[in-house]
Amino acid sequence: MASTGSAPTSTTVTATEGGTTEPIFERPPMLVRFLDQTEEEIRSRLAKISFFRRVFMLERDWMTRITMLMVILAVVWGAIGAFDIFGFQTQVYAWAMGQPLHLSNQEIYSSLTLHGIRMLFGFAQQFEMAIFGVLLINALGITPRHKWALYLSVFLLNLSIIFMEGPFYIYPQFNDNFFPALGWYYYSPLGIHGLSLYVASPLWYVGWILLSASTILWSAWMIAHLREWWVAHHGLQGTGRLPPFLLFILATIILIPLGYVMALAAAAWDLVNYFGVGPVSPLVNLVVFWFFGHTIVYILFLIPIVAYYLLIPIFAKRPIYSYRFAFAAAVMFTVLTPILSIHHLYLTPLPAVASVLTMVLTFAIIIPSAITFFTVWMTMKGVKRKDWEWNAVTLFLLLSFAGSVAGGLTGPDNNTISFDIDLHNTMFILSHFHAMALLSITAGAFALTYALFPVLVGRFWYSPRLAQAHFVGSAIGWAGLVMFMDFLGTTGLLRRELIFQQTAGVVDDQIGLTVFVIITLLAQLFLAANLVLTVFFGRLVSAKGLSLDETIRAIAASTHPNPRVPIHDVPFARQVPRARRERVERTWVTVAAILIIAVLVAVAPSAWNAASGLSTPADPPAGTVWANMTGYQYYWQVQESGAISGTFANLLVVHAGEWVAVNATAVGATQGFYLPFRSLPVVNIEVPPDSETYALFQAPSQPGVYGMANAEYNGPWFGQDVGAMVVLPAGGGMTNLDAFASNGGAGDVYNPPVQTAVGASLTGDQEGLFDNSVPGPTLSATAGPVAFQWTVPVSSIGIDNYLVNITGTSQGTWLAEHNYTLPYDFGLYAVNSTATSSGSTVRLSTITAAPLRVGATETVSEDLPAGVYLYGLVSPIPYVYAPDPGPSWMTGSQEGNVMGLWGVLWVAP
Amino acid sequence: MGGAVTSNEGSDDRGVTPFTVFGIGLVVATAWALYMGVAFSGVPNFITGALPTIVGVAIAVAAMIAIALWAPKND
Repeated sequence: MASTGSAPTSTTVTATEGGTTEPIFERPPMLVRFLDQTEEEIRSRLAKISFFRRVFMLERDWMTRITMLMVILAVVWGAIGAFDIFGFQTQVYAWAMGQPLHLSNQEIYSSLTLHGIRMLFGFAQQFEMAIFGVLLINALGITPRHKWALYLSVFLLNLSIIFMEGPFYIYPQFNDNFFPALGWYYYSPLGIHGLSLYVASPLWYVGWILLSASTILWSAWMIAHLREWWVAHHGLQGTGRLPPFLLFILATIILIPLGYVMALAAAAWDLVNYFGVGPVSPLVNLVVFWFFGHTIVYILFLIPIVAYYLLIPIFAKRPIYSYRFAFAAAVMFTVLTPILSIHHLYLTPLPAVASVLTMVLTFAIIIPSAITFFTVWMTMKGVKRKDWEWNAVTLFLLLSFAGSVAGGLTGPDNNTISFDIDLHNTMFILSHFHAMALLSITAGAFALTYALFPVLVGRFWYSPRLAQAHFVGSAIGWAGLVMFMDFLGTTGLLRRELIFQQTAGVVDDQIGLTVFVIITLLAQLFLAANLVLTVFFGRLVSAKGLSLDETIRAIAASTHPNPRVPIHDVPFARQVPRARRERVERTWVTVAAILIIAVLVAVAPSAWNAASGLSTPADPPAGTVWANMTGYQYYWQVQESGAISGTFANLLVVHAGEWVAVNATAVGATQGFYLPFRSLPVVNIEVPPDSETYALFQAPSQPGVYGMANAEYNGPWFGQDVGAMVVLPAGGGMTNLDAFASNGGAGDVYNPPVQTAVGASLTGDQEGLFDNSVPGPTLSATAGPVAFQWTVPVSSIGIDNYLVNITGTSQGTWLAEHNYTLPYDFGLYAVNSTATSSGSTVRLSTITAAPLRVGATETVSEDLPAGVYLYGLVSPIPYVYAPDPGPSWMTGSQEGNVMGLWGVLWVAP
Repeated sequence: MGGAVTSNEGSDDRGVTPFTVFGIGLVVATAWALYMGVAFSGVPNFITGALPTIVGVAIAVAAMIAIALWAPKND
């Protein structure tokens, strides 16, 4: 192996069966013997069936068997995770196209949650453990031991994914609406019984504990082998130095316990809170969780890093450019990764010094990345075209290299606190994340798969054409997917958003995103077919007389239709001295460090202002409107004082150009207050319960109705959680909305559409909104007689409609028994302003109100003076989801107060 | 070995080297990352809040390419 120095290698995975030859006084404990014997019993029985014997390699050594099992399980979870996102995206597509949704909100958001869990842990984490385990054992040339530990780790990992999926009912009717709808990460107290209205099954938290235990056990298993090797070789004596890829596997082994112990702590804390025990501190819990949440990103990012350091020297047929700098990069990754939790929490009310210090440290972690990408790139300098082949391995390496650059270079954007305000929780983040997850990490994982899978199964790849099709389809699908996510992020659209305004640009981008999701999924079928065909029909690999490097080149050549490059090792004699190469590396690192310092100096003032503004009350100018806001599941309670006083649900009333000081807290879940202005500074703050987050901003100069979204996912009715900021003309009086409507409400993506009241016929939809808009369309009229129609069709009352509870009684039966009349008043309310000595008092005055009738077309007809009015249900509707059989302590439960069937009527003089 | 792998030591060396191809990948990926940032140029705090980072990234990659071209081969 060109990169391994003098470390021993072997070309096959070998192991001895434990427990058969030890003297009786060295026999392992009873539990270990039981586990080993159980595995052997299962193996020998399954091996009698040819299919299982072939697929699971049941006649091979135990290390090969468990590795193959992990790879297969990773593929299975990956396939299910892909199905999850297909389910989610089809519903987003349906919403964009104005078509009915076929899944409940609970199912849709649990699809998203489980997509993340299955992909990150069932697929990527398990794959990493499988490949890194084999690489460590083979690179060190040691015999694998402690079979029970590895098997137990794999069992716990896969059990954890099943636990996190949560319970479902089969009888009396199939019901999977109790799957967790939380997000791959979860913000305490969302989902916790007694603290949140949306309650997840406790199995979710148990699953996280099992996952953490599994990965920590795996790390212990790896460390045990490393220790045995270290003792046997008296350190590095006689072996020279560790191969560079192994340095990053060591980093993984260290980072996993450091990261997962924090996930374990956060999940255990949540679990005891679930049963009413222990202190509750959402903000501290967030920080603890994100010590894991950031570390896992780098743990998985080490998959492509290992791929580069392992494979590029093999195909370049020469060692890496600088071993010392690779070593330095591994150390820096290991030291810096676990301490960057807070950069995921820049918009929470943490001390500004903590946020800014984390920003500095996060910029510092650019250095090891800069070293890595420079070093692996420079490793190829001097390789001739004729000595390099573009097979599936090298193509995926190229894609991963470029993908890491594309995704990685948007990381500094997120890390600049003052820029993060524009990006946080938007689809931009999803684009950045998927550039890393797909174009970088998965592409690197596929490079390793194409290089190593035949080593495992002992057969060459069956079809180079399928490998090529897989590469082309994946590259196109991933690139398009990342691109359209970014386009959506540029508009300010939030991630996890099922419900959005159906504006042309957003709809087009969602269609584009759906197309590339489908291309991505279809491309993976080529890999699946090739895997199966290889296992059954691939030509046998014979590594006799070949080094591991040569074996991998031969395997890679089987993914090329017409391989021409020789696979044999060639002698490599260094011509450029180490000192000269290291001088180049030092030059690059120095330049990068200087640039980082320069950027930090330039952005520090704005970053400090942004961070400190979140955690300390504002000192605003005279005449400011003070807004004390409390985020509930799923609306904002707003209490205004100062220039305007009043109390509203989901409504903030201000005058054009007025300063607004927000003092926000939350109940039941972390919320986010988000005004995605495009012609003014974006307002975007995270609001955890039991804390206060502050914002000071200037209202738009253009009177109108601006969407005021909740930016943090807080449960299955997240999509309905959008309020309105009504901006009144500055000097009193009223104007029309022509100017506001002509520029699309300043282009803000959450603004409800404006339409004239004359001829308007609002129709309730299956999400309990008018015309697929939350708030409903802003109706404009002129003073005098104003009339418009509205209806809530019977057909709109379904599982997604919060207007009628889901209980043991069907919604249809309930409606019939109650004469199709709901216990909530549909009304028209004037937003009346009364002048006071300090400003004005605003309150809602009822003009007309009557219980809402479902299935009837109603007409609102009033003679109205100029002013602002609200129509519809202007108070939150208490919603309970309790289908038969109802929720239990095991299933979790779902309640909430939802406000979606309302809007603003703007009457100009 | 499997038999499909053939040796052709005498093939010519026309075409771009892997170093160049990876360099092109670096440039394309950087261009995309910069576009993602510059797409927010209409947002009011772009100049003070975002531009220094974007410019820093652009200069860094340009410097990386310059140093890589100047540096000796991995021979």
